[in-house]
Amino acid sequence: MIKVLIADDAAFMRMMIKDILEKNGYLVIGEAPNGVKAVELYKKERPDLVTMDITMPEMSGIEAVKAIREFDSGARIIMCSAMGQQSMVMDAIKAGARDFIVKPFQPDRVLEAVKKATL
Amino acid sequence: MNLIVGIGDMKVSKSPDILTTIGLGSCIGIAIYDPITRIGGLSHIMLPSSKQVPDVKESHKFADLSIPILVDKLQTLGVKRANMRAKIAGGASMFKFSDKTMMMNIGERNSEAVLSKLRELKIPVISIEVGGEKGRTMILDLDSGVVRLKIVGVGIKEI
Amino acid sequence: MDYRDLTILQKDSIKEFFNIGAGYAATSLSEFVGKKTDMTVPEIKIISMDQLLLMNEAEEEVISVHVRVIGDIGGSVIFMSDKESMEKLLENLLMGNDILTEYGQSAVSEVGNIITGSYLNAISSFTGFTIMPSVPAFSYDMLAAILSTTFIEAGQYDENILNLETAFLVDDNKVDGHFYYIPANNSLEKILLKLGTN
Repeated sequence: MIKVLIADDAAFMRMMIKDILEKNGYLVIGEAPNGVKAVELYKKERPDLVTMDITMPEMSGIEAVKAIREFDSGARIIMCSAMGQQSMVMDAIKAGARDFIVKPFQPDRVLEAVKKATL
Repeated sequence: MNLIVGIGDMKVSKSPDILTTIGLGSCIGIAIYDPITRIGGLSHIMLPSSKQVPDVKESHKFADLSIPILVDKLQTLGVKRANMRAKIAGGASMFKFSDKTMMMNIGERNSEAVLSKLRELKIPVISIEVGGEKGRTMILDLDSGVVRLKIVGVGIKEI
Repeated sequence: MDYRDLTILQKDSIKEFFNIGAGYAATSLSEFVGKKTDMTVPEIKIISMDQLLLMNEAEEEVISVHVRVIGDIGGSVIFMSDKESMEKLLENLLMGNDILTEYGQSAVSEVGNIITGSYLNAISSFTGFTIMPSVPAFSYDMLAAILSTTFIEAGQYDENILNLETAFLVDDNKVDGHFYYIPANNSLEKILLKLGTN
């Protein structure tokens, strides 16, 4: 089973994404409420994929992507954020994210992105 | 009679009137009362100091300007300085951002400025209800000098 | 900036700017809560803080989510409604949970996050500014305390504040949420410059 780490400061959103993923055969091995915890949990659990919000306290999602990719250059991360501005998408991709989902999203969009990223 | 003190406003009156100011967030309500004449006033300030503002027209927005005006007004109504007693409420940090760098401390600065000014004018502060995260409605009963605070989720608190 | 000096053309351009951004926010809200959302015509008023509070039920208890705007321009976005309306609005998300629980507050906060994100994405699109939202802050408190503090924190405490507001009407108008954009005091000039109406 593909192991996923969910990073988002909203407990509500983490639950929502977890629900979508678990109903479709993915295993959620951890949840991080901020960038610092996301990096910590990545190092500890080594998930196959990370879904990463951008706007988070302590450390932003973009910074967390950079830190995780520095630790593991093969890390697979997809962004999931309310921020869809061109410059931010570029920043995220440059930092090493594989895809960018803009909230609000349909469950299919998440599943499509997760499938593509874990091929 | 119930008199409403708006934001950046001040009113004085005497017993049995009631002075009310609604929704003190980071703002501070300053009640000054004389139990002997039962004359008092309530001021609702928004900011600590008028010094940064170039052209001040609304004095009661600022702690440094409003408090002296309130004290003077009460004196012209026959209140002796020595009998004045102050109660203050407000100065909350309304927004609990999980990212603390987003939090501002206007409430705290207001509180410091108000207490400093009252100290300077040698007016004893007999009740202080500042800080926290909730808004307050402040009601000064000029008959008794009691201040009642209405707080969402808490109810009524007397100070 | 003294908002009383705004020309009719400038006010119109601000209204349109806000209208487009709020439209994106309304669409976003609709998708997220799973309900049809409409928007009232945005209002742009230059008034005193006192008048702002008098216009509304100052002592009314409301649920609000406050998101700060950071980047090329600053300020705040507030989305607020009375508790009952907010519960109705989020009923598909709350799934029976009380709105004041951690779960409920998180849902409200996420609504704020998403609609602000959409609003800022739209603004960014046509001004070219890079603008980020802060993490959101949930409040359940008196309308006057929330609004006054937000305006003051955005540096808007002059006699003439800029009230940019619209209402999102959901569920055939039975629910209305108020959406405010409060620009920091030097941000409006930057926006007008970009809109070409400075």
